[in-house]
Amino acid sequence: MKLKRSQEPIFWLLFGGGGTLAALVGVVLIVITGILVPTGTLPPDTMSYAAMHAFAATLFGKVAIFLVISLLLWHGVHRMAATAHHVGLASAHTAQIVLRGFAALATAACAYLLTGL
Amino acid sequence: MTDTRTIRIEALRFNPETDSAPRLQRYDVPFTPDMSVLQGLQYIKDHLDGSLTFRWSCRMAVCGSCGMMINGRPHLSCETFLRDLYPGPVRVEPLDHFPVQRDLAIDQAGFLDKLAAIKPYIVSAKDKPLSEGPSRQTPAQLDAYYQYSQCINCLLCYAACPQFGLNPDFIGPAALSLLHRYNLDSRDIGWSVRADVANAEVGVWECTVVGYCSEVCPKGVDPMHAVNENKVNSALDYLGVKRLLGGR
Repeated sequence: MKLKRSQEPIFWLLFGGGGTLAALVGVVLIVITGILVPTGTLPPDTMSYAAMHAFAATLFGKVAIFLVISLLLWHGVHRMAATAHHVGLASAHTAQIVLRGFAALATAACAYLLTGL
Repeated sequence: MTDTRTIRIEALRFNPETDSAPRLQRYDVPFTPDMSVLQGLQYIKDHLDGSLTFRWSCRMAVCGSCGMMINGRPHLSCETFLRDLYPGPVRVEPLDHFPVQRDLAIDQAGFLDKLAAIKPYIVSAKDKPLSEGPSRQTPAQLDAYYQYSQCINCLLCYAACPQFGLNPDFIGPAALSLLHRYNLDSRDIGWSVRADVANAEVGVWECTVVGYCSEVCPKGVDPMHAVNENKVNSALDYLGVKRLLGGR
């Protein structure tokens, strides 16, 4: 029996990291951006361009935005690749290349845009 | 017998040496409320058609020989009752994803190789002479692996697993559950002995967490949980953390 070591742990750890982050901050973000701000429960300028830009300009803001966007993406594409494979849309390999390629590009774009702020 | 009824059993017939394709053969079988699907097949073999081939041994859900697809789902035929499938028909086919040897009997050779690969026995750190007596375990140490030790190698989980259907090299649910069973045993030296199998592309990483294996297991084993726990172990091993933490 030929046993070749899998490189899957890298992607699975990104998937796990994204899942943990989604569980910890995903719901909070939905409550703030989807409910509290639109209903006016929070002050109207909470998510104004100026406030968001100021947040993204700090080191903490950059790191937080980068981790939330990139890790949640890696989490999402992991399940989407498995689903595409399960329903017969693509082979596991093709689905992984396409979706993980997208996550990698989006991660790089996110890092580039944040460092430029 | 007043409560004898008749049910139609449609059995898949296939002899790879002479037939170009499998076909269904229909039998009308009289049955009483205490009769299992296996007993229905035995009635066919004894009274209607001696050429029907199927495996069985214990008739009490312990030996794991009589697994087959019953109406499209993997079941042990000895613990599936004809009364529950009345008025039928009942379709019986060999377990999905395996080569057919004859009719309902599948070729288990691939699984037996995988079973051997996970070293399904206790590997101790050193040989212990008999004079030292038994290796004692606490109830908690027994609980750690008990559910996985209930596996009877019936292969229903392999018939349920879509990943095994796509890649027959996948080590698969039962063998990975047994890998976990021995790794968790306090008398075994654990992870390091079987890490190469778990870490492999065809090891735990082939699983996409469908979970049907755990649903069809007739013995209450949860292979999906065993695989998930070993994805954690394998990821730690990949990063080298497993070695830093020590452990078995």
